Amino acid sequence: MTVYNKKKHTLLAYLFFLPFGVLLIIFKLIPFVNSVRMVFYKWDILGTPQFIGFANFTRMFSDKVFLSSLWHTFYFVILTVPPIMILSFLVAVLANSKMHAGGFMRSAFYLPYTLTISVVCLTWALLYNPYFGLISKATKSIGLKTINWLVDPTWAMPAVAITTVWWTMGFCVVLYIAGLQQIPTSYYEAAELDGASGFKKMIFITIPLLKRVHVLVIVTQIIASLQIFGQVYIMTAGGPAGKTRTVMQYIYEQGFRYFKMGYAQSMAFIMFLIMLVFSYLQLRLMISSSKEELI
Amino acid sequence: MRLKKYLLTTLAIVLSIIYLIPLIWMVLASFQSQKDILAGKWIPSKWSADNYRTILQRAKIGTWFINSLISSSVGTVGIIVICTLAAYVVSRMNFPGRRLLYILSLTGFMIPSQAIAIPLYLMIRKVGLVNNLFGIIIPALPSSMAVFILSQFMKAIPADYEEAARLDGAGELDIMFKIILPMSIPSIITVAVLHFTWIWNDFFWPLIVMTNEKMYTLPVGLVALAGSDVNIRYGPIMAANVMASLPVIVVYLFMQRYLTRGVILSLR
Repeated sequence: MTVYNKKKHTLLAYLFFLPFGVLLIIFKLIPFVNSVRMVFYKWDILGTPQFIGFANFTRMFSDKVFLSSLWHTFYFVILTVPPIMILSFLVAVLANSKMHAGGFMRSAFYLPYTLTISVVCLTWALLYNPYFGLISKATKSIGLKTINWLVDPTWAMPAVAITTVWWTMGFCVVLYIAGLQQIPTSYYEAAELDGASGFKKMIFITIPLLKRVHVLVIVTQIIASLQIFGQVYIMTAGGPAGKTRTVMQYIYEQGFRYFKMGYAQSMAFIMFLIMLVFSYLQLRLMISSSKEELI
Repeated sequence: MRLKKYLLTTLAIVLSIIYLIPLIWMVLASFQSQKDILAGKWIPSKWSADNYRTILQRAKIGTWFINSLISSSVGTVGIIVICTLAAYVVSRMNFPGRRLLYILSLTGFMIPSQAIAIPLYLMIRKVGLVNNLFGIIIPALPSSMAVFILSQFMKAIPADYEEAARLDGAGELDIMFKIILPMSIPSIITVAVLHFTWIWNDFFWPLIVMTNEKMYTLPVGLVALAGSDVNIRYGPIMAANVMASLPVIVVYLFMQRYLTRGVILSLR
């Protein structure tokens, strides 16, 4: 290329990138810088921000509600990530096996994932109803005690978790199917020649070769579950007795109901730090898996 | 072997149907009277569209639907235009500073939207975009995920095409619009479907930005409706749920092939 052309080429590149770059800076990077600044201020939306140093953080770690909401967030991660991983793996193995209904099964399990959060939560709230909900009908018919799922402090979070697993696992089913389809059939054929059973093939070939998918599912699901807000807001509003109040729910209450912007942002910042580890892992995984095959 | 295949097929169908019970029930309940629902019925004793009539008369569901449709489709088109350009730049153009721009375009991955929701809200409020659909649309435009998927795909297109076109005297814009972009359509569709459903299904941000009932999106409106109006009971709420789900389910059924392929593709 001539010097003139090279200049023109570079200019064109920057010109094309400009709209995205400007919007990214205005709507992602500047708010991020502000979010870091805000943690040092006391600010109820109307008055002027008042510099208070690290007081938001000292307050946060003596705030029992914050600490419990932090625990509830982790509890939700524990309740959702392992079942999503195990169930979606099993469903994917079945949907990918040599039989007719594979495509149907994949669609059936993916369908809930396309639904809006309100639809999912309002429908499940009714299913959980202890008086006329389908779940209590079912448990009654097999002689179990009726649980008032969303009102019982022990069961409210598991109930929210069950709904979430149902709603979101279809996405991971697709990931696992993608991974399964990349395992060369020759591996299984070789194992069959050695007389390996279906169970052994699963343990020694399928599960280890899907390592990258397992890691990807774990990381993306941890990120998603740490951010849990909508399900709790809609189904329990953080109750009963604050037993389902997660960090995002508490941030919402402090920030957008009581307008304690600095304090709410400090909690958001802690969440950001926790999630940073997983976001970094996710990015690394995506970039490296883009260079190689998925497995 | 045959028997095993039939057993597996049966198992797959049974499991799928069990999995869809909540959805099937939602549709059935939308045709039931309040009495039927409270009796825990499955099949309506008398099929009626009353619930649909009630919801259409009482709620602003039409307005919410249009709000959701506008923000999702305008947002998606905007994302496609802006992010395709950026992806083209970082994947196919060669210039000083390209790596820097690539890294910059991926920083969005490291900043989850929840982490910046409060400062972003204050900013949106300052410029008067509260209760304005642009308050939902504009912040959604710079999507790192979109740039990532698109640039991944564009990188995989062999340089031969470009070189051959250059020999024929094609300029930069010709190569972009006549060669690379048409070849990238599968990834563009993937990005479109993913982002349309994300904006359509988003809850946290519209809940914060929209305080006027008329400006609610469908998810926010439905929740407000279920929580506020005691006259609108379970049946009508389920009818509203069905109406809210239909467009996305239709989009999904049409785009299913691209979507599953797209999810796979975005991982490769």
